[in-house]
Amino acid sequence: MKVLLGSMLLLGCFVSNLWAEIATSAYWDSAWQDTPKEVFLGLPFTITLVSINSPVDVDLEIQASRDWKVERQKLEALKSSVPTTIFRLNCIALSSGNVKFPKVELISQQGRVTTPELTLAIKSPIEDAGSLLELKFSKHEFYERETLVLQAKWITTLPLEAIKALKWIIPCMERSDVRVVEMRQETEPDESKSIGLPIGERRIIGTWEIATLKGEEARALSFEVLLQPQQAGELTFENSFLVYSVERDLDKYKNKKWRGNRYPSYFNNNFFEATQKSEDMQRMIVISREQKIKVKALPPKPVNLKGDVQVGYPMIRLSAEPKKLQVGESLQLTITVASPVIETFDLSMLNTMAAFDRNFRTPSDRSAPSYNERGEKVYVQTLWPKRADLTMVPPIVLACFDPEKGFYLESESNSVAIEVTGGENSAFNRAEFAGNEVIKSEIQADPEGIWHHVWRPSLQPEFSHPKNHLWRWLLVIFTLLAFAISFFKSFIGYVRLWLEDSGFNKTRHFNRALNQWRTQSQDRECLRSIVLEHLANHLKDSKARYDEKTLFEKIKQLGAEREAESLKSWLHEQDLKFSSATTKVCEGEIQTIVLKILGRRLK
Amino acid sequence: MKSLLIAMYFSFVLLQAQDMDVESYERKSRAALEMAQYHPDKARLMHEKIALQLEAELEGLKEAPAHLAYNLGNLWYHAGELGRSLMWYRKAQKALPYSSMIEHNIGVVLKERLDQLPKSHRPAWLPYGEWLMILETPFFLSGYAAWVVLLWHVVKWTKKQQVNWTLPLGVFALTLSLWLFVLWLSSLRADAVILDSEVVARKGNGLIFAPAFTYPLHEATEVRVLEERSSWVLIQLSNGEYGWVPKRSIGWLNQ
Repeated sequence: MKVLLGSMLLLGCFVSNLWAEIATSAYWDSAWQDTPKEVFLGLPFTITLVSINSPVDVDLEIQASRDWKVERQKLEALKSSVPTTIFRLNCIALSSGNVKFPKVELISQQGRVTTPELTLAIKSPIEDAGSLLELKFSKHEFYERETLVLQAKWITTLPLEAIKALKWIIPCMERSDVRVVEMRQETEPDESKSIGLPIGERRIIGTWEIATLKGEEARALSFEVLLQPQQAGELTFENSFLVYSVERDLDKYKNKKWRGNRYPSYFNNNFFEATQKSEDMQRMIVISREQKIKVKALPPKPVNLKGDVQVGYPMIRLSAEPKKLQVGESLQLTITVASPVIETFDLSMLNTMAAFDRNFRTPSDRSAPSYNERGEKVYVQTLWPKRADLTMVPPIVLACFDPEKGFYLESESNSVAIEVTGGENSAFNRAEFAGNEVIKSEIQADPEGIWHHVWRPSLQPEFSHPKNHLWRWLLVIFTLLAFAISFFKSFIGYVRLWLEDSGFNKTRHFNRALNQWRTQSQDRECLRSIVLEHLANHLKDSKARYDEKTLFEKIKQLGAEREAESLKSWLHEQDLKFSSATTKVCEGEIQTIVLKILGRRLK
Repeated sequence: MKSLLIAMYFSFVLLQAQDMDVESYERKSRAALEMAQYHPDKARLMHEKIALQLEAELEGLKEAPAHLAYNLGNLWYHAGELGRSLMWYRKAQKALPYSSMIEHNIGVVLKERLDQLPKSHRPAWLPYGEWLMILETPFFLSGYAAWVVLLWHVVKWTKKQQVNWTLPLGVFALTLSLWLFVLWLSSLRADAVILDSEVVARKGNGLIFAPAFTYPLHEATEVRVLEERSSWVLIQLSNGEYGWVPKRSIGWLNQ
C-alpha cells in the first residue's frame, strides 16, 4: 500500500512537473478578448489583446488603417505560471459594415507574432435626410506643412434641444500625418452664439446660427480648425460623419428657444452610451462627401539655408532688458512673431542656433508663448552672456518657404545692442583662498581651433623665415662642402699647405728655441743651428739641417737668392759682431729673413 | 645658399601672385570673421564666396604661394568645408613642410573628420613624425647627391694609391637604401581628399554596385587614387580598404 501510495505521489509530481514544463515551453501566442457584440460607427469601445508566453520586452505594433482609429493603453502583466501580457486598445470605427480590424503584431527581440485576424460588424445609425454636413478647405492644392483652414458645418432642421448625445468624426483630423491646430479667438466670442462640440477626442468651441435647409428653418453648427499636412501626396479625406441620439418625440420642442452654451459644452459624447438603450431615443447619422486635396512637396532646399524650414514668412522682432549687464547676470529676451497664420508657428529653441549658443547660455526649456493685443506670438527667453565682450544679441534668422511665391527666403529679426562687462563675481582673487594659497594656471597651447589667416607672409615668421631643422642645415652645409672639395681642388691644397707650412707648432717651436738661446747660452753656433733647423724644417730637407751649402742651394732653388745672400752675409756679420750685437736686433733680422724665404717658397 | 634658394622661391611665387589684390581678400576675410560672431550662417557663406574667388585667381598659377594656400584652407574651414580645407592645407604644407601653424590646422581638421581612419597610408609600424617629412624633401636628395660627389672625389683623389673601399661603399649602400625608402614612402602618400560631405564608396565603378564599406565616406578623408575609369576612381583608404567613388567627389592634392 505504502509502495502504491509512494509511486502515485511520484507519478503525480512527475505529471505536474511535466505539465508545468509543457506550459512554460509552449509557443508565444496571442488572442483577442472582450470582443464587443455590437459596435456602432464612431462609438468608442475597448478591446483586449492577450499575449501568452510572451517575452519580457514584448511590445505592440498596429498597422495604420483608414477604417479605424486605434490607441493603445499601458500594457499589463498578469501574475501566473505562464507569462501573460495584456494590451487594452481604445478603438473607434470610422467605416460601417464588416470591417477588418487593422493588423496587429506583437514584437520583441526574440521575433514577432501576428495576432489572429479580426473582423467586426460595424453598425451605422439611420441616415438623417433632414441634415447636411459639409466640409470646406481654404485650398485644394498647397505645399506640405502649409496651413489650410478647414470649415465644418452641420445644418439640421431638428430642434437642437432634442439631441441628447452627439459625436462628430472628421477622419482628416484623426490622421497622424496631419497636424491639427485650433484657431485662436482674436475677439471674445459671443457667448450666446457659442457652442462646445465634441469633435473626435477634442472639444472645439463652435458657433451656431439660424439657417435654412431646403426651404425649412434650420440651425447651423460650425467651427474652424487649422490643418497642416506633414507629407506630400494626394490626401483623400474620407467621409466625415456625425452620429447623434435624438428624441423620437420632437413636438415638445416646437416652441422652445435654443441657447448655446460654451462652458461646459452642451453636448457630451459620453451620453451616447447612456441613451442607446432608451426606447424614446433614436440614433441617427449624417455623412459628408469624400474630399481629395493635393499636397505638393517642398522644392529642394538651397544648401545655404541652414536649420529647419518654416512654411510661411514670419516677421520677428527682438527686444532685451536690461541692456547693460555683467557676466553672470541674465537678460530677458522678448521675441515677438507676427505671421499670417500665427497659430502654427513654432520657434525652435535658441540653444540650437549657433549665434546664440556661441555667445549665451540658454536654458533648455522655455515657457509657453502668449499672444499680445495685436495677435502676435510672444516668447520670453532668459539668456546669460558667456563673455564680457558681447555687444549685441544676434538676430534670429529663420529659413522660410513662401508658399505664395513658391521660393525659399530668410526671415531675419533685428539685433539688440547690449553692453556686457566683466563681472566681479566671475573673477577669482587671492583673498578667496585660505592661507594665502596661490593657485597658478598652467598655461599650455590649446589644441582646439585653427590659427589665423596669413595675408602678409613677411610679417609672419613661420612663412617669411621657414622653420629650420638641424638636419636641413647639415645637409646644406655638407652639400656645399662636397661641391667645394670637388671643384676647387687647389683650395684644398692651399689649406693643406698653409696648415703644414705656417703651422702654429713649428713657429712656436722656433720662438721657444730663440728664447732659450737668448736667456741661456747666447752661443753663436747654437743660434746658427736654430735658424738652420727651422729653415730645414720648412724645406722638409733633413740634409739641409747639417749642411749650410745644401741649405743655401735649396733656398736658391726656391728663387730666394737675394734672401739667401742676405742670410749668408748676416751669418758672417754675426761671426764678427756677435759679442757686441743686441739679441733683439738679431732675432728681428733672422725672423724677417726666414719669413721672406718662406714667403718666396709659397709663391 | 639656402637663404638664396628660399628668397628665389618666394620671389618667384610672389611675383606670380603680385597681380592679385591680396588686400581686398584680407579686408573681405576680416569682415567675414567679424560677422561669424553673430551671423554664423551668413559668415559661412561669405567665407565660401571669398574662397571661391581666391581659388579662381590661383587657378592660373603653376603653384599657389604657401600663405595663400594656407589662407584658402582657413577660408574653407570657416565655410564648413573640411575636405577643401584639408586639400589646401596639404598644398600649403607641400611648400612649407615644417610650418607648425599648418600642421596644427591640419590636426584640427582631422580631429573634426567623421571617418575614423589611421592618420596616414603608411604602415602602422612606421611611426609618424617630422623626420619622415624631412626624408621626403629635396634636401635629402641633395645630401645624397653630395655623398655621390664626395665618393667620386675620393676615387679620383686616391686612384694612384691603395683605397679602402669599405667606408665609401658602405655609405653609398646606406644612402641608396635610404633613397629607395624615401621613394617607397612617397608612393604611400595620399593624393586626393574626399570633398563631398558624404559619398558612398562602391565595389565597382557604377551605381549598380553595392557599397564597399559599412558607412559612407565623409569629407576630409584622405585617399590614394589607384585607377581612373570614366567618371569613377578606385581609391584606397589609409586602413588599406578599397572602393570606387565618383571622380567629382574628390579633390586632387597634386593639381
